[in-house]
Amino acid sequence: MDMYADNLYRFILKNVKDIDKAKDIVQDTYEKLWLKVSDVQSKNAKSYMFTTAYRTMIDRFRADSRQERLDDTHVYLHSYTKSYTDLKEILNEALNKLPDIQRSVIMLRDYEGYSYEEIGEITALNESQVKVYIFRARKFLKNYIGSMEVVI
Amino acid sequence: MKEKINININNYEAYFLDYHEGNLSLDLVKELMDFLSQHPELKEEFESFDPLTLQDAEKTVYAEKEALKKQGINPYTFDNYAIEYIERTLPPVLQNDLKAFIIQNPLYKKELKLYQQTKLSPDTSIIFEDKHSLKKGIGRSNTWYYWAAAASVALIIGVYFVLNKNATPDANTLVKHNLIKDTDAIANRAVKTIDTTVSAQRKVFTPPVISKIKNNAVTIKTHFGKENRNEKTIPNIINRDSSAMVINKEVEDRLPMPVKKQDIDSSLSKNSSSITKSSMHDTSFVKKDVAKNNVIRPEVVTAKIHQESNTRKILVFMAALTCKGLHKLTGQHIELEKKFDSDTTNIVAYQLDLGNKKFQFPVRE
Repeated sequence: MDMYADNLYRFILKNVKDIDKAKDIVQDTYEKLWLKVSDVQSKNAKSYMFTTAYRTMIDRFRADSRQERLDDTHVYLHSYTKSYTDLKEILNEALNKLPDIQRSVIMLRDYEGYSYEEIGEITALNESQVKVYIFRARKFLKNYIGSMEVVI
Repeated sequence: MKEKINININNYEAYFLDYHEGNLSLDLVKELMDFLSQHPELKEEFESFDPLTLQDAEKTVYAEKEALKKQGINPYTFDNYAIEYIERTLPPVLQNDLKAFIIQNPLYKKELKLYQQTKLSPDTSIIFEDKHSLKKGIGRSNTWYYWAAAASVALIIGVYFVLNKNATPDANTLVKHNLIKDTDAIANRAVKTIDTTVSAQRKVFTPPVISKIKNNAVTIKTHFGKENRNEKTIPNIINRDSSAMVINKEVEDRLPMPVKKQDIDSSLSKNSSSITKSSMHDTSFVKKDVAKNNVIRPEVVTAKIHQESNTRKILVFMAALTCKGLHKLTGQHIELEKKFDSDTTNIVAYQLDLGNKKFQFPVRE
């Protein structure tokens, strides 16, 4: 459980970008888990928590009116004014520029190693949609890193 | 047998079209030509039925047809293969194809490297520190709940003290309001003022009381809490024949329960030292025909204190409601309690009880 807490916290924090809100969502998630603990099998606990946390986060986004549309119709312009020193920083910047849904699925994929199917369950998408979002996210990140390398 | 001639001015368009599409028999062609010779005005229209060709469509080509063919990795399919490769979903055979493609097209080596760099790794320095709070039954450890509760109640109590600052009778003012002057009967005497100035920071202020009347002198006792007592004897203030005690007129007009000269006279006759006590609580002292200037009204202080109590009660009630609301909202133990002085039973402080934390707000008099 302790290990999941860190993973969950990292995932949520990267998305909400607010320490207090991230902590609050993690605590909410655990509270919900304890309420349903008898119904959740231990092997599914992690998935249950990520699903709950993800949905809680989306609800908060909506409540805060911060939710951008959960699609990738946004066109993000790269900013060349900031100087970058390492790849991780660039990648982090690029990650923040991704549409919420793409950021979530790629983080679940890379941070947690979830399969497309599992990510689909967590994010209420079908497997094909997950693959498409991951594909678009990777392409965006690759182009972003490439353009930054030119600047550096 | 010859086909029946059908072409006329009402249906010729269909024959024009069939002619241009090559659907007319020789007989019908001949018939159509005869019809045209009979109607030369339609010749232009007939010629406009040239075969419709979409020549531009032939020029539009799908440039990436190669990508549609399942023939392995090429520049059009590279992204898909590269992403599948780093996603580890690319079958081993195709992985070899990809490597071979990169060897043949070195420019794509960098592309593949960029794709590999898109692989995210978690920042393990980010940890959830308060894991204890996640355990079952522990609940939230967010101290902000407590601080919010404390701040809310403190705000309400603080508002009380701020508002009450002006309303709180200043000890000096009170004393000044209790000027005791000679009356008309002793008109030539200078006004005597009882200087019962005491520190304004003392505890409960008890109205100045007449503690003793003896030999034309009145002893005034001022009482600030248990520790601070101040007694002053004013000689020659009482004239047994026509004496009276008056106080500042400004105060006098607001006093509900006067202590009148009759009381003093009565006290003199009784030689009693309990005049004030009786005068404050026994309405029998309110006589009908009291000369305006013959009154002393120490109850003004009591009245003011009562006003303060009401303000305090309202604000404390609001604070208590806030606590109840927060208790409902958070499920935490939040309660506002009163602390009493064991001797005087006066409220000396309000205590905000948050279960494991307590905050006290002393009552300032």
